[in-house]
Amino acid sequence: MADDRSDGEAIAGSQRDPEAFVTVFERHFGAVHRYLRRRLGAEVADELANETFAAAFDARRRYDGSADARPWLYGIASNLLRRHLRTEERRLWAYTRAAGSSANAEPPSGDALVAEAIAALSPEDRETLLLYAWADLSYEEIAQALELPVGTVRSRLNRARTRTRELLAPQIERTVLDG
Amino acid sequence: MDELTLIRSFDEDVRSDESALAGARRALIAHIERRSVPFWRRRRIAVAAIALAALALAAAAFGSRLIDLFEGTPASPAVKRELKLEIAGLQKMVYRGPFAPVPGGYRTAKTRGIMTLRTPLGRVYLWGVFTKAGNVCTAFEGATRGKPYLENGLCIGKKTSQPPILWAITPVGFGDLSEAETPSVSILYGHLTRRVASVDFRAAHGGSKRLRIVEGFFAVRLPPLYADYTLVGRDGAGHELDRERVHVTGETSGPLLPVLGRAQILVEINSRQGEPIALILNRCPHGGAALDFLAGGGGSVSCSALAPAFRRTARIGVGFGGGGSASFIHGDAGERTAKLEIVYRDNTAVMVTTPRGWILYELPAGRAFKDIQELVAFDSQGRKVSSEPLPRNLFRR
Repeated sequence: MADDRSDGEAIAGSQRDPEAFVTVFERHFGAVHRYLRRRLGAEVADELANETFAAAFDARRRYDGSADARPWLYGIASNLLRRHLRTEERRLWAYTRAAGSSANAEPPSGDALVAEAIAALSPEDRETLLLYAWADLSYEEIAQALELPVGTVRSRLNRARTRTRELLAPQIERTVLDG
Repeated sequence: MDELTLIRSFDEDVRSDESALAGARRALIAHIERRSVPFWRRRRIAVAAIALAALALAAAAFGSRLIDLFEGTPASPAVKRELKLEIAGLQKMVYRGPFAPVPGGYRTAKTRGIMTLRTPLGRVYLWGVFTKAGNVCTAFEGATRGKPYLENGLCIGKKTSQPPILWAITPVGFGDLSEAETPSVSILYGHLTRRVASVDFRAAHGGSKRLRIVEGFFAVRLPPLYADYTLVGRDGAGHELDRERVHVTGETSGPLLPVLGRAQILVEINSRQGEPIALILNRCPHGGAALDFLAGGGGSVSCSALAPAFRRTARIGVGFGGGGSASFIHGDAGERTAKLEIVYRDNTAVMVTTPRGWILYELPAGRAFKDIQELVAFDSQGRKVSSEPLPRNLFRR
């Protein structure tokens, strides 16, 4: 039978039967890993995604019982990710440099501009924006993941979007014109 | 188009691959076990293992066959761990009837030996994983040193509706699986309903062998000279209950024939050595389908009740294989793909036509898989459909 327990029930069940935690892993590993991979590249993401679920297993007694464990898992991943901010920045600038070193006269690719815009954000704003854009968390879920008031999430997201909109304006215009 | 759309499209092709998932699952289960098994219990497992080893030595001294000892033997922690990973990872498919594998419970209650087979390459162990949901899943292990490697087998559940003889063929590998050419043997095995009291394995050219049945399972190594075989199941009174024909192609059979007699040849080419090579889609006896690559008239059938059935997508899903000096890229280049560009690390590239999205291509002499940097798929209008960068270490030998 497919396991139709909520994440909260599965995590509670894993107190007695630790293997029940694998259900949570099966549901969410792909998304968490993909998020980390987009942020840090494959090598670091593999290690960090493993660490996220091992840390979550160790901390399962403190889980608040919510039906959806995604905010909790992304919160753990975000904490672990802070050790790798420099890796992320290097990765983003590598995109930009690759575009900048091109010998032809074409403007930088869309990805290079996006990388530059993301890299230009403060780590806090970047984290909030990417949890929203890449992890598909709502304002409330981001607040839960980062243990912040929703208002703070809202202002960080507003600031991050305004900044990236300015930096990506040429690309947005080009896309609209190419239509 | 706004900034959020652009940010969402950045690196959006990145996905979590199966190897990362398997590695993480392995790591997590090992972590759970480390955290969950108290020290005194760990010591008890070690004592049990020593007692078992002593028993095996005593039995050997008295001339008993190891095969008798193996039946019911609890699996080693390493085997258990591997089986847990495999069974948790392969979508917990339990055979329930023709073309209807369904998800089943995978939390294990016991893992123990069912039988062993002697083969020219070494022993093959058939393990049974008895799950808490009442299913039994099987896996084969080639006796290799070091980390166990397991080939998934059928899963049978309490609600399985099967013919009297349910059978499948699986290759069992020996040796280091990081090597491109792992020696393997083909095992014909299956599960019988309760009414079947005996099963005979007959070759078309004559010769018959009664197979041992343990917990409803039977297994026999297929001889390397492939031919037609028949399995005949009888009840306790000797009445025939089922007769299953097993067709297998072999190196001596000449033209390529569909393995199991239910396969469709998708692409067929001749290698530089003049050997027929084919990409085939097998219709598996227990439902679903599997994509296989045949070289030199022989090949493996990757049908497994545990493995998810092959499904086409727009993505590139190719395999890399060969024999001797030949190296082939084979598989599904994506259902919308008309051409696949193979980009080498020295920045040269070659465009290969992919009929109906299937690819079967022999690398030119002097080229190796590790030279490939990326595969890029294009549709019939020349538009890029997808791409697959290949990590250098994928092909490290």
